[in-house]
Amino acid sequence: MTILPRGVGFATNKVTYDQPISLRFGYLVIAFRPARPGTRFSIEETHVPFLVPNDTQADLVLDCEVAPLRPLSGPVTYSAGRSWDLRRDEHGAETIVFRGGAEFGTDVWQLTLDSEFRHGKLVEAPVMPDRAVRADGYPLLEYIVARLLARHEGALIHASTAIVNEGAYVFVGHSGAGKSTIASIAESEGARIPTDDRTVLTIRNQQPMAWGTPWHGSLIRKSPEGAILRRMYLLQQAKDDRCEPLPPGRAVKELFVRLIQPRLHPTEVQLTLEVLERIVQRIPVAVLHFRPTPAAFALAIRGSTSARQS
Amino acid sequence: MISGFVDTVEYRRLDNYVYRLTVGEHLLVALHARSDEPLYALTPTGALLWERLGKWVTVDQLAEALVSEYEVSVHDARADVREFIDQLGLLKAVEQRGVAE
Repeated sequence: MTILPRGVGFATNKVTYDQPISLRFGYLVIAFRPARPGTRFSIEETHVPFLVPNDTQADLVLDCEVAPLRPLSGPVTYSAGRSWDLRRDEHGAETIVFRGGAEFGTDVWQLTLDSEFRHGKLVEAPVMPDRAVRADGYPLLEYIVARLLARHEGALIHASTAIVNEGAYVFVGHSGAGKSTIASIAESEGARIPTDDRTVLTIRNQQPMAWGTPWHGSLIRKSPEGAILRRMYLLQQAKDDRCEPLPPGRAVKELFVRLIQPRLHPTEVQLTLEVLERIVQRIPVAVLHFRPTPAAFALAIRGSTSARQS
Repeated sequence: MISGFVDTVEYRRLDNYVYRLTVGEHLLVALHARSDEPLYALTPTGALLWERLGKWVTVDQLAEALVSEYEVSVHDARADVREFIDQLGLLKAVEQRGVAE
């Protein structure tokens, strides 16, 4: 596998479908259905591995179309600066407008979700020549998945994941922490890397899992693969390699601030913290002080506190 | 009233923060607000006051809660409450209103 520096990637091909599509992230399934006959869907080829059969039980069903966006009234509940605005009505239903194009100056998607986040409507403005609904649009899809995971025993975190002996080792950090670097080293040591930038965490039936995602990072291939979570590390570049175990309380806080969109609804905050509580009580979390060498990755797999320990 | 003064202001927490006791830590999480820190850690005393701030209360009433729960003087309890309220004010986590006499 070729690993390129951040921001230097091959332009991937877009794949267009004349039928509904469903995408899966961890256990979460999102179904994109046509709101009117003839609606087509497109995704980048990096997302193709995340397709599942359309008869897969969906957690969220979106009726989709390409059409002019309707004007919205009412106050904005939350705004993410230029990229999106969220309006929440008195019943808990939400409408989010995502912007794109130059300087985020164009309203591109209008997403309406019912209060339970079971059903919604997605309208894409007719800004692209092929007039297909871009199911993987950024930040649309990542936003949907992050919000839904909070309600389905999961979370989306800034982290790369290495799978070794069917166990997942998750390396957490904001941009520049070394997620892709440790992933590259891990891959050279034989690990499988389903993601080097965004990891889905789940805990179902008391079993913590980590899963790949299609977003960001430097890897050309992305994988939906998941594995039983063995250990989590906060990355800290250093002059030597060592593990610093984190007590559960601090681990929850450190992980929480590295999640994607966990703070948009009180219920999601509570559920997300509960997920992290359950995870840190079951698997070790530590700071990995590391140099970019295979020895650091080997230390992470062993889980000992010193590079000298065996 | 435990201070000898009449409180003329009541306080109540706002709903833009979420409290949770998580693995021994009292966390106060700011709902989406880009300029704020995402979360704060409360002391057990702060957590008690946060719980009492679920309804309109005066500084005296909050101080009474501390005095009844901890070995602390009324004077110190009032000072602690005022400091805590001031901190919550900076976070825009509390609202206030005048008390009709």
